[in-house]
Amino acid sequence: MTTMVEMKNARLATAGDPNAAVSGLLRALVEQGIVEQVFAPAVQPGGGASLALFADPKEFDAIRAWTPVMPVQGARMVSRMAYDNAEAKVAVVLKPCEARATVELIKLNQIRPEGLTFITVDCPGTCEYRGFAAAGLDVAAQANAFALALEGGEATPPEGAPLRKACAMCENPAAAWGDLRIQGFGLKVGDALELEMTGELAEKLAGVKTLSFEESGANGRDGVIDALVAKRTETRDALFTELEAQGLGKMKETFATCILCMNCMEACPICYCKQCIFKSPTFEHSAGSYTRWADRKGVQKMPSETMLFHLTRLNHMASSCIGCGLCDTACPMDLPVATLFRKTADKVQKMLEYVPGRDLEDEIPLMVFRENELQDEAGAKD
Amino acid sequence: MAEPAVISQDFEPRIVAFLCHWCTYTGADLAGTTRQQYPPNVRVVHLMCSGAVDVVYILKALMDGADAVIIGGCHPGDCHYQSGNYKARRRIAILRNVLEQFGIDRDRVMLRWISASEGKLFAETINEITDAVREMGPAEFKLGWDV
Repeated sequence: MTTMVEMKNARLATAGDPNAAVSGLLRALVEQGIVEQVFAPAVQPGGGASLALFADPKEFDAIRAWTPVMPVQGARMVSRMAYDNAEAKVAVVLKPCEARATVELIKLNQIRPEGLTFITVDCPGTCEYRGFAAAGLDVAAQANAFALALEGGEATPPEGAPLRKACAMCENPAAAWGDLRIQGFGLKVGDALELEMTGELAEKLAGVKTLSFEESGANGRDGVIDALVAKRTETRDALFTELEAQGLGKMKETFATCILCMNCMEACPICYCKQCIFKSPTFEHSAGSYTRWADRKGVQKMPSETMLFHLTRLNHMASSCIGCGLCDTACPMDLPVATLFRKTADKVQKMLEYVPGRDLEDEIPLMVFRENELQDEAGAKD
Repeated sequence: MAEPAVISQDFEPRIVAFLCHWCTYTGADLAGTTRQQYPPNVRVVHLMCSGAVDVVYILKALMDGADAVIIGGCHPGDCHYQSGNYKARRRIAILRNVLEQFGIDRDRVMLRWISASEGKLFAETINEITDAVREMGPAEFKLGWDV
């Protein structure tokens, strides 16, 4: 599971349908007794996309490793089924941002990795669900187009459903962690996907017909990833620059329409507290508090303490924010929360020299310290 | 009922101080018993450890009328809970970064190490900080009703 394990390469024949090929591979994992259940993105009977935990291999046809939308953070769902030892051995299919969140949640003791087999996929990006639904698009119909787009890098979003902003500025689209990494960038995905897996998995999967374990010689992957990362980094920097040096006035404007629904918190994989202080009696103020505040300031916005909520949340999660942007998707008021949170997190993570989601060995910044760091933060004179 | 927060010529900063029981609070006590003079602008909240200060306490203070917040803890290596002050330093560093992104002067939040024997340093620090905050003017947060 860590990057230290020596990985074996293989090719998975796709016959034009990469999603079906991966579903078949997952079925093989169950047949070989490696896992009993599979957690993966799926097409629901009504055509919508969701995540699902599959026990019955007959249902595996609904699995789409590549969905054109991402309504829920997979890591958050994994932590529901595996915060304690899951009773079954489960294969967990994750996009790279979900894998990074999973790494953080394992370190935060919110996911017990024992019994889980982590499978990550190269990601061509996802569309904002609302645009996708409004344009009358079908998840099942688009799923393979997204998978096949990996050859060139980023998916070309269908008309009316642009990529999520978080995806447009994502510099970590490649499957870089997990027991089995499914690679498609720069490859003829219609023919075959490349796999990287632990030696143990390779041994158990040796008899699977769609797999071949010889060297493929394909070498387009790095170039496609580099070009994609360069483009995304440019987009990210442009979005960050827009937010640079915005004063408090502008920030207050940004959050003026926040309705304190706390959806950003509910969607965030890093906000894992079972009881948030903002939903606790601490913030059930006496009725008189409001009138006193109005008296003191002349006016009191209601709901109150919206900025306090966002600032506090940002402080709690900035060091581990993996930039999945699900807060944007969850916000009913279209506040640019993902960009703002990512930008702030970026600074914090650089200061703490921490890359969230990279490796289980990197220690969570709020749990450790170095003796001689950050001295100017404690008033040391230069 | 509290005074309305208005900018006036004779602005007197309100500073909330979260002080750890073992060092800075005791240092403040020593400042008193040794008759060190320091301005009355600081309101002390007594905690067991600087590591027990959650950012929400600091932010709530800033939004509800404080012009600045000071967190006082034991010197590095002296924490009575081994590492509370080091962890506080990371948290405060993150907070100061976040405040800056939101357009608030990061020096509205200050972390200082003052030991139980440094009553004089406590008085000097409060003097210094009160002057600095007086220079900064009233905190933007407490003035707005829209936060």
